[in-house]
Amino acid sequence: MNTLAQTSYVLPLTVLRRKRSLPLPGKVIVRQGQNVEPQTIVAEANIAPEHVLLNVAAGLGITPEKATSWMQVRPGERLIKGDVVAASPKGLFQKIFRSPCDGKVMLIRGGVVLVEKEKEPAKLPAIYTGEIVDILENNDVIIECTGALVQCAWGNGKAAAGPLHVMMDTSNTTLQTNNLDVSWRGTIVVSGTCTSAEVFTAGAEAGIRALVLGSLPPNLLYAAQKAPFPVVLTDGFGTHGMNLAAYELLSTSDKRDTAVNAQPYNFYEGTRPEVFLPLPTTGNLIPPAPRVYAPDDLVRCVTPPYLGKTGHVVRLLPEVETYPGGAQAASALIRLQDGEQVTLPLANIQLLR
Amino acid sequence: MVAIETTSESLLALDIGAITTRALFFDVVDGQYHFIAAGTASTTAAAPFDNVMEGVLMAVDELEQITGRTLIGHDQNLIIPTATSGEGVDAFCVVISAATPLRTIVIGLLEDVSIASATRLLQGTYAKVIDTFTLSDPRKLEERLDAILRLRPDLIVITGGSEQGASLSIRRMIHPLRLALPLIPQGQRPHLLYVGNTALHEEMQSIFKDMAPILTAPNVRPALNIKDLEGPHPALASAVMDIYIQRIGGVETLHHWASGGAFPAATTHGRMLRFLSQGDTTKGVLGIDVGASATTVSAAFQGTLHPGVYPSLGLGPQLAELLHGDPYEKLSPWLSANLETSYVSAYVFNKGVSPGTVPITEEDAAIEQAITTYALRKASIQTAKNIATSLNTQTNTGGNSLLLPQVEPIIVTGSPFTQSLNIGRSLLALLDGIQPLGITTILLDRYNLTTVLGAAASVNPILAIQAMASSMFVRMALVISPVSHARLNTPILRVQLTDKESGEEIRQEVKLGTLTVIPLPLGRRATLKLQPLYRTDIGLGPGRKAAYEVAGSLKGIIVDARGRPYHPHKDPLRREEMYKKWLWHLAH
Repeated sequence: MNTLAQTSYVLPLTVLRRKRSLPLPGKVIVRQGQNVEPQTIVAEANIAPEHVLLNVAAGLGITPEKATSWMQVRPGERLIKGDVVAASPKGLFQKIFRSPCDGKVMLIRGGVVLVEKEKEPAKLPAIYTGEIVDILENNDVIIECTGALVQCAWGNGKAAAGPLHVMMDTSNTTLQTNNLDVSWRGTIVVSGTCTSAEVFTAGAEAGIRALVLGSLPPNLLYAAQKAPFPVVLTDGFGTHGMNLAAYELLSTSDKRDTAVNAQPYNFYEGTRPEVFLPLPTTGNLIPPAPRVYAPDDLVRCVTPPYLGKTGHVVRLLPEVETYPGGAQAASALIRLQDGEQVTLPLANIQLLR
Repeated sequence: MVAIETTSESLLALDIGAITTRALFFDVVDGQYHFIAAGTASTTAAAPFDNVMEGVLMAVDELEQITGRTLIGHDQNLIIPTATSGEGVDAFCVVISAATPLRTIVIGLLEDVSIASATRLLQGTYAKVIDTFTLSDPRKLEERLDAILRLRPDLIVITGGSEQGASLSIRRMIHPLRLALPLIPQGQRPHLLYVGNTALHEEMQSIFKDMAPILTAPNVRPALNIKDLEGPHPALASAVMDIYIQRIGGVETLHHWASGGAFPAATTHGRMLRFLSQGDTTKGVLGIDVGASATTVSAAFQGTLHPGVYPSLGLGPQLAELLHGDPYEKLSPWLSANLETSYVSAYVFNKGVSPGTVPITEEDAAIEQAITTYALRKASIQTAKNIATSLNTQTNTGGNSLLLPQVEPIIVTGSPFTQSLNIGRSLLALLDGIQPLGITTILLDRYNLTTVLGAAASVNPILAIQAMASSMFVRMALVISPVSHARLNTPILRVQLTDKESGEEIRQEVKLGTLTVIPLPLGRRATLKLQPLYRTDIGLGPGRKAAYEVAGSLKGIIVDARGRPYHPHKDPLRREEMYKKWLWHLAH
């Protein structure tokens, strides 16, 4: 079997292009070439639209055709509550239909008017520091940014930016509740793992912007999902901490501006949560990852019993390997960081770039 | 009898799953079509490739290396038909299941009538119903319009009205849709499928043809007491393919290569099951496919398919969602090893973010077995309920709608079975998950040929029939599932197996609550005599005995006398002990 290399990026310097998307059509409010900061609003949209159907013909007791000819508004027009929507020709008994709400005329058809109610639009922040290089169909913008990147395994769907605060001496440091106090307000806290759901409560009370962990015990998944701030795991679920490549990059980046995009992993689109540290310099776009594994590639293990460990490919095995559990898979011999050599399925490792 | 002319010889078939892409080659050997070889590669539908063609070319490349035959030209196009130099193939087909389930809204009249039928229709493909609009919907028209805009479905199925029945209500029900579609940008609008009263076909076309892609099909509920799931299915499959073409890079090229031979995998899997059930069989045929994108438990009886495609039970990225809450609690009844809660939950959550991984250790294999069993059990119960509603099979299942009717054979595919050498584990997952009744053979379809040949039938029917008959399935076991009201550990069945060649005889008395394995290796034939005790039913009626000539298989004959429905022991230590014993029996 031709097993493609799954790649996870941990890069000290790269150029990224990231799409920021509105879930529904809206308005892009930045222009191409504009520099953006994490908090810059790039687009806005009414993501929970509410419509009102005004039956003008029925309301005025006239035919739909006549109602159409009496219309005083056009699609796209903004209405304020009380505005005239339709009116008969002026005379002693002029019939008038007024708008019951603020909104925008979306459609006029067969004597009815469809109005989208005016609502405060949802705002989409840039999250990344960079330049708008493309605007796509009024929904999405592409931001190009330069800096360091750590791709993660899991995210709780939120996003934020702030200075990084490293709270780990080793890749497996456990974050304690008493580590979090108001002095870390507005920061993005990085640690190896945590073992208590109270960390999320304490983090919220302290006002941290985001939490970056190597791993998380599975019983804390729902606490992490409900946390009011972004939470990302570089390596997944368990108590094994952070892979060494991510640890080395993040632990030496204390106080650096950081963006955490905790978008959930989307298998079909290939998007992953990530941590990005912008740098005021130039770099190159991420080179295409190799299609297949090769000797000396740095990899990390994504399943037990070596979950979270990194190592190097010694060689690819010519035949499929059969494992104690019975599974057969294309495999490679890996030399782990501690020197141990193990045979692992290619499907259970990720190339670290 | 109609003679079918063979117009093609060699055939290349592609099977593009969520994780793996397979390229399979068929050709004529000794005047008969045979499956020759397969090449496999990772599927590349997702980033960074965003195009299935990368995986396709790699799989075909491996196939070319195995067969020594060039199939793809220098221009990266398929060489079709075969050139005089021997390069290329004569026919090509492709099946696809590598996409997120289609988010679907169903608009109909009555929840229990047209909506229920349309929902059943959608169980024949990779779709997830995210909302339904009915006459009794308390939401205002504007709220339903808002729901369409907010939910952004991929597909909207409109149904309702029997033939010569309601039309006014259907016109009323589509009103929110008529208002919503113009508000959605072109290119993002959902595909529409109308499967209601056929008298409105033209009207639906004329209303919607300028707004969104629309297909009309036979009425899924032509009369109050008649469902037609097969008539509208081709249009549903066509709508699904159109969406795949729009959404998955490279599918358009394959569709062009296939010139009509590109299908959703669920469609061709169902087609082949239907075909197989038309043979000389009094029982139905059951098709199992446990994959990353869906778990399928579909059955066909005398040419009628009862589809059961469940994307929510797929073992890929939706795994964490499937086991939402406490994965351990859901899996523990089926766990063959006593593992820590946190270990099991972490394994499940990590599998959700790395869906293509394979279990290395015995412990991980035990978790995967439990996950497969859980998904199969849920899917089997749902399909059993659907069949019971359609066929009124109460007597066939002993009055239990949680069990599937008797079938022969059960054809199994999917990575939990095809990528493991531990046949014992695979069989236990199947027995616990499906809980078959009566006497049945379990066949392993290592290369998902059932699905692929369902597509091949559209370009070369003879090939599909001959290749199907050329013993391409591996016989895993013959399973006998006696049902008895006797007390636990009471002997309920006497089994006598006489080897045809050696005359060697095995006699065994099977007790209620046990799982017994009687070896009969592949290639051997034997006479099997079954004598039930205490009015035990082996699928022929209480106390009725039987004698058969049987063929050997990987695990011979399994008598699963654990009861139906089988409920695992509640005590984890006792359960582990029992599973250990059964796995040992199945391994030796």
